[in-house]
This record gives sequence, structure tokens and C-alpha cells, in this order.
Amino acid sequence: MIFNKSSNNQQHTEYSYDSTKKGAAALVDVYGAFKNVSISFKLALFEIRDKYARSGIGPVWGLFINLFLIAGYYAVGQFIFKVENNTSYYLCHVATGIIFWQYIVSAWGESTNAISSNINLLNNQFMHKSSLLNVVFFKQSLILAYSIPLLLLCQYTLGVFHTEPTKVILLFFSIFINLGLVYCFFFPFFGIWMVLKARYNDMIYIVTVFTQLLFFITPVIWIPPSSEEIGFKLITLGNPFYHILALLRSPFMGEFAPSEVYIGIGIFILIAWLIFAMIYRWAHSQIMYWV
Amino acid sequence: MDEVPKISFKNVSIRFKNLSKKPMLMTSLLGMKNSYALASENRPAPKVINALSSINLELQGNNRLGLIGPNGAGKTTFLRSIAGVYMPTEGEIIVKGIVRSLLNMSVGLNMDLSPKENILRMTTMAGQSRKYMPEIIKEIAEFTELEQRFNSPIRGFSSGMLTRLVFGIQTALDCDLLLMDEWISTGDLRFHKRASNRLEKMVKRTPLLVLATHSEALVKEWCTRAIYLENGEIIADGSPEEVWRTYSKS
Repeated sequence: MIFNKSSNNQQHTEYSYDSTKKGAAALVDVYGAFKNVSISFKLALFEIRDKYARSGIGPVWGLFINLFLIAGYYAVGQFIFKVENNTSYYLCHVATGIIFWQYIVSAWGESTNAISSNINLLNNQFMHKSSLLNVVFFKQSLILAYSIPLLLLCQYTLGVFHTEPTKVILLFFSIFINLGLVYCFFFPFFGIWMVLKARYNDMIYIVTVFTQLLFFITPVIWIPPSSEEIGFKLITLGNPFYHILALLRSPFMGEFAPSEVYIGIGIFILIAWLIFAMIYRWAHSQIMYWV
Repeated sequence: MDEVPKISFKNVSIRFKNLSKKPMLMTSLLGMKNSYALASENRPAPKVINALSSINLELQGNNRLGLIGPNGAGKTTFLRSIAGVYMPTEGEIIVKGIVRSLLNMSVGLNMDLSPKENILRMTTMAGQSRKYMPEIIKEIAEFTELEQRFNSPIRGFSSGMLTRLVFGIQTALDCDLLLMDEWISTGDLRFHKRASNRLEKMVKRTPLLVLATHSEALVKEWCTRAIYLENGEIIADGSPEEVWRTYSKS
């Protein structure tokens, strides 16, 4: 028996492409990605199963990798660079930094390759290409969830749970608000890289160089001093990953992100969407010819 | 009530930029550039490839279109543009209805997942709700006769078993528009007969069929209309018999 449309409860498909309305087609693609967000979530689950197939402990590797890296970088910071700080605070700073940096780097790399690695699929059926960004976001967020015990341990070590209940509740909600803001930046920012990689294979090498460089200029393992020096302000406030890391990290350090971080991420979200809109309008109709 | 499925091409042209690479720096430096060069490589490659040129077409309701033409005529590009893969460089394409593409039978499977997980993944991508999933899985398992290995990774499957599985999944869900690049022939003799029956039933149930083929018998048996494509242009459009005659004379 072949399953018929009514029993399958499938949505009726309708699409039209007018070569004179490239912007509209790109917009429909992005809208489709948000509309079919549940499909992206389900696909992310399959991607995780695939990624950790034939692995004994599966996504728990995410936790172990972070543990090893935290131990290594903490030792480097504390014993080689002689970071003068409260040991438990510095340990939590490194732990949250490494966990979220791993999340950012993995999501960036996978988004850049999103079209190339799904080319067989895209060549055979209609799919909103930008929905691949959602798949990566969900996949990496689910893998990140395996490191929650470490993040909670940081909160416990810093005595977050012993402060007033109102603050704990507000910190809890700020995790989701901040994650939402990070998503608002990730979608267009990674989208730009995804499109450019579809055209130029060089992008993956550029991402590798950038992530290595950004690791050192973003306060992942070092604590930013309160310096008024313009050069220092530029590499912190002018670096979107400084803001992203601050947003993701602060609730787990028992702090609220400073207002300059919210202003900064707002500006970067705006810039990223503007550039993404321009690039996607230009590239959307051509991507499948390139790959 | 479902809307009538429709395909409309208004003056559609599809042009690809020829992205043939210039010799890379290292290749040139290592002197590999001309080692195996063919004489024809000295001729400049076209900068733009006209995959489809000014195509006008209206298909609505119950219609079965056969696409014929030599290799490289634009048949697959035509099918992919209906599937929503390629967008027109010029003109407008409108498609209404649930589209199912049987363009490549090796697509979509994930070798580390089990048949069951692959079914869930592929049907999820097709927008299928989970409500009827158990019935779909059961039906595909029975049809493919792979029930006993339905929970083990497909990595160890033979190519025949994989083809059976993909065929079972691709033909399990009904649609309004069926796109086929050649008639699918699959599996051993016993399975081939069952597969042909299943495909025939699916084709009969589908209101709109677009079939790219090199087989005269298939065009004449299954299609109500045919198009002869060459170099991306429609050379002839009409009844399958007339169009095949023009094609065979060319």
C-alpha cells in the first residue's frame, strides 16, 4: 500500500520563482527555515545519532573533551602564565570559556560546510537552504547540553545558588534570553560563511585561521582587565565573540552581562543581518549552480 | 479539497556560469599543468552554459509528460528546476502540489543509521508527521523484506538491499507531482517484479508525471505528451508518437 496524502497529513507545497524577484525568493527561503523549525530540530537529532554512531559513549564525548581542555588550559594559565586570581573563580572562567568556545567553533565550522555536506540531498529535492543553519544550531546546542553538569558545577562553586532566589531566577531566565540573542547573531553570521563556502572552497581555511586567532583575542582563558586603552577596547568591544562569550558565560558565573555587551551584540546582529541579506539576495538563486 | 497540481514555466532560461578552474598556483609551479593536457583543452571553454533556453510550458491536472533528448540536452536540469532545486536565470516557474523526485536512487541514506532511522530521517525531510510513522515503517519493512535487519546499521547491507530500501522509502509516500529520471529498475528478479508493480501503481495514482527517458516504449506507454529537448531548447512538443518520430529522425 502506498500512503496517500490525506493519511500522511503532508503540507501542500507551492513555490514560484521569478527571476526578477531574487530578494523575495531569498526572503521566502529564510522564512521557510523559521517556519519549518521543528523539522530542523528532528534532523539535528538524526545528525547527532550519525555523528556518534559506533561510539561507546556518544555525545558524552563533548563533556569529556571539555573536561580535558579545561584541565589543560587551567594548568597553562595558572602555572605557566601565572594568572593572579582567585583559583576557583579562574577555574570557572576557563571552564565556561572553553565549553562555550567549543560550541561556537563547532557551530561555525559545521555551518560553513552545511551546503557542501548536504549537496546530494539538495540536488534532489526542494529544501530551504537556510534551514541547514537551524539544524547546525540545534545540533550543537544539544551537544552543549551534555556539558550542563559542568556549568552547574561552576555556578555551585561560585555560590550562585546561595544568593537571593530572585537573582537565581533572573539568572536562569537570562540564560535563554542570551541564547536567543546569540541565535539572532549566529543565523546571519554563519549564513554568510555557508554561502561563501558554497562558492569558494577557501572559506574553510579562512575559518580555521580566524578561529585560532580569535581564541587568543577573545577572553576564553584570560580575564579581561578593566583597561581604558583604545587598542584593547577595540579588540574586545569590536570583537563579536567577546560579546557572545560574555552573554553565554555570565549567567553561569553568577553575573548579569554588562549593558555594553547587549548594545554591542545588538549592533553586531544588525550588521550581520544586513550583510547576510545582501549576500543571500545575490547568491540564493546561484548556490545550486556552484556546488 | 486539494488544489489542482500545476507546473508552469514562463519563458524560463537557466544558465550556469562555467566555473572550470584556472590552473592552481601549485599545479602550475609543479609543472603538472600540461603533462596530461588534451589538444581540445587549448580551445577556450564557454563562459556560460545554456542549460535551458526560453522554455514555456503549462501542465495541470492529469498529465504525463515525457522528456526525451540526447545526453546533456537539459532533461535533468528541467526536472531539477521543477523540483525546486534550480532557480531560473530568466522567467518564472510556478509549481503547485506535493513533489516527489525519483532522480537518484542512491541519495539520502545514512550508512551509520538503521533502516528504521533512515526511514524516519527521510520522511521527516519530506514533511511527514510522526503520527503515521509506525505504519509507514511496517509497510516498508514488509515490502523490502528487510524486517530482520531493520535495527542494524545499513553499512553492512549489499548494494541490492540498499537499493530496495531506498526504493521502498521513495515510493511509500503519495504525491501530486512525480519526477523521474529514467524508469527505476531495481533488485533481483523477484524483487524487480514487485518493484515494477509498486511503481506502476504509484504512477497511476499520481496526477502529474514528468519522466525523462531514452526508452520509446516507456514514453509511448506512460506519457500523454512529450517534449524533445536539445541543447536546452524545446525542439518538438506534442503527442509521444509524433515527438519520438522527430527525435529518431534527428
